[in-house]
Amino acid sequence: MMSILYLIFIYPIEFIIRHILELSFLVTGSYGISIIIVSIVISLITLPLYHFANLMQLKEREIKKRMEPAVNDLKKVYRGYELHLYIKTLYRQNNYHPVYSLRSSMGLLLQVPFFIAAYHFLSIYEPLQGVSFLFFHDLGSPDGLVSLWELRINLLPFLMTGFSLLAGYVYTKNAGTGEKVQVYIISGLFFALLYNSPSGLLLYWTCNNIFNYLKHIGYSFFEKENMKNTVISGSICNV
Amino acid sequence: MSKLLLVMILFLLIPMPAYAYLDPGSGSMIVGAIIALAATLFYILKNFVYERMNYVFKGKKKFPDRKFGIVFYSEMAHYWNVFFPIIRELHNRNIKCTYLAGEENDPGLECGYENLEKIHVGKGFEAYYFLNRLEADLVIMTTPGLNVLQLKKSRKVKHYCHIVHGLEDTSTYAPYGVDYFDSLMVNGEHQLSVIRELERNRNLPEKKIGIIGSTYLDVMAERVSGNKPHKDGKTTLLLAPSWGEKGFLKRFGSMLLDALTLQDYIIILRPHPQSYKSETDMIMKFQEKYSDKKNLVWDDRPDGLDSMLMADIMISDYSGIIFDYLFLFAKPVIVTDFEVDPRKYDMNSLDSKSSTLMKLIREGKVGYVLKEKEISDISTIIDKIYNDGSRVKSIEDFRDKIYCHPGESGKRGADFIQSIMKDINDN
Repeated sequence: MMSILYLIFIYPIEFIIRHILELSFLVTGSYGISIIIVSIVISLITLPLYHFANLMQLKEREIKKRMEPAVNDLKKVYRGYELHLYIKTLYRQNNYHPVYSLRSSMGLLLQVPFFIAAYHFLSIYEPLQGVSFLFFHDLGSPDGLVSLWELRINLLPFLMTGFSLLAGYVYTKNAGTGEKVQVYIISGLFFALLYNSPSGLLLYWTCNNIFNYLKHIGYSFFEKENMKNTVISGSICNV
Repeated sequence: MSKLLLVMILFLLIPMPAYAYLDPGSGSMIVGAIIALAATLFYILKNFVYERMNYVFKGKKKFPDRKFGIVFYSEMAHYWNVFFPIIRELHNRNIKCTYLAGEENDPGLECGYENLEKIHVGKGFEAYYFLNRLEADLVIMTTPGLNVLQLKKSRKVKHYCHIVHGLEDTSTYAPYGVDYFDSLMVNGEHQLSVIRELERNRNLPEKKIGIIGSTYLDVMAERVSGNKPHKDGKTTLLLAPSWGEKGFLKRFGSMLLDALTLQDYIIILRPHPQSYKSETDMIMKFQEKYSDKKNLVWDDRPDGLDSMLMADIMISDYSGIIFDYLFLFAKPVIVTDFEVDPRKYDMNSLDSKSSTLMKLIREGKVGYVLKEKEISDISTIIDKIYNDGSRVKSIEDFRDKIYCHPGESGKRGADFIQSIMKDINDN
């Protein structure tokens, strides 16, 4: 079953990634630079999908926020069957159905195969074995860049997690504490999980996280601008 | 491959780890999507179970399987007076209609008009099973919550009309009370304006509304005109509490009854008909406690007019009956202080979060508003109010706005129904 899923969803994307990587290598002669190019291309390909998912989620949040006071009022004074019927009517009057919340996942689901394909491909891509790039002596092995007595510490997992935390910080700036804590805990968990992965793969994810960091800064900038415009137009209406 | 498998499983089954391979935004979306999926499935399942309840409790009654024309549905026996003036007028105009009664003791079932077909449909799910599948041109009912609660719109009914059965506006109905009716027959402008405000606030299309006056008050007025008010020397008090949390019997019944039964009054205690169903224990407790009080009479008749005729003063809480009493008899009322949680009602969607009559009471225009701390001094207050006619005179300021077109509701209601039937036939 997994093989069939792999063949249908992952393999075609891996095929494209392989060709981008090999084409970039032909042009640049460096696997390190080629990995960075692959990261940029994949991030650009998935950007519209992220944007679509983000828009859907914002729309969803907006409707839910609009209905929230009424839902809370109903929950405080009604229970069970009656509550269900009143909330159902409230949804109907706001042209909403809980099923719609799944629409926002569509863009996201389309992104997932890209991420899995990149992960799988770079984990097993043999030509990276023994290839050096900048300070990394072997893109096919953990970097082990810092030596502490007899202990070799990998630097890239720290870098990757650092950018992941930065991106998370920007993304959750207006979120609740729960979501913020979730970002940091999961970043920590995956730091542990990927700590001994090949540096080629970690380079790819680090680049991805830098791109995500920039993406979230861009989004937060545009959201601020939008808010400013809304306030300005609102004040004109009031006058 | 095992690591890839792990990653794929994480992506598919556990929302959190997938997060690290995506960015924080996408990760958050995955968590949101999984929560949304679970919530949606739960909602759909709950909805499925609740919807099936209508089929499970269909009862054993056999109903006629044919198309009806004009149908009146009366959920409870005491609503007969709400429909009667219109039914009488339609009968006089030789227009046939059907009366569906929820209760066996509904006086409408005994009506002798040959143009009126009468059917006892029972209560609750049994009635809803029939009504939800009814085939008719027009259904008129006092029951709110159409297409919100258990009573659904039948696809084979062309038009649903709600008739407001009290003088209060519909903001005191439970949420979305009249939103899915096609038209309404209302008492006055105050009811119309509330419906329009709710339509605006909820982006609903405007319903056809006819101001017809108050049908049941017209019936009562006809009966009052043939009866002389009772007077035998002693002051007679009519205690008419509403039911539920705002009912004064529940809030401080003992305190008030203890204070009143000690005095030389004749006390008629007439709880709301719903109290006998929803607050049986409380009613029984009071009946037992005051069983030896000769000056306390319980009134559980469907019609409260006889008690109103006898009473010199009414004590009630926030209830429509005080307006019936004021407008029919112009006698003083005492309203016990009340609190209403607007979240339970449609008034929560109004800017004022309050109903028309509630505002009038709070403004002191209706009667004396009795505070809990004043109960021990109730007899002094009663004497003062009994001898002070100024408050009663002030009702003229708002009576004509609340009780419109007195005596014309039957004719106006029949006109409105005929205009709806014309719309139906034209389409």
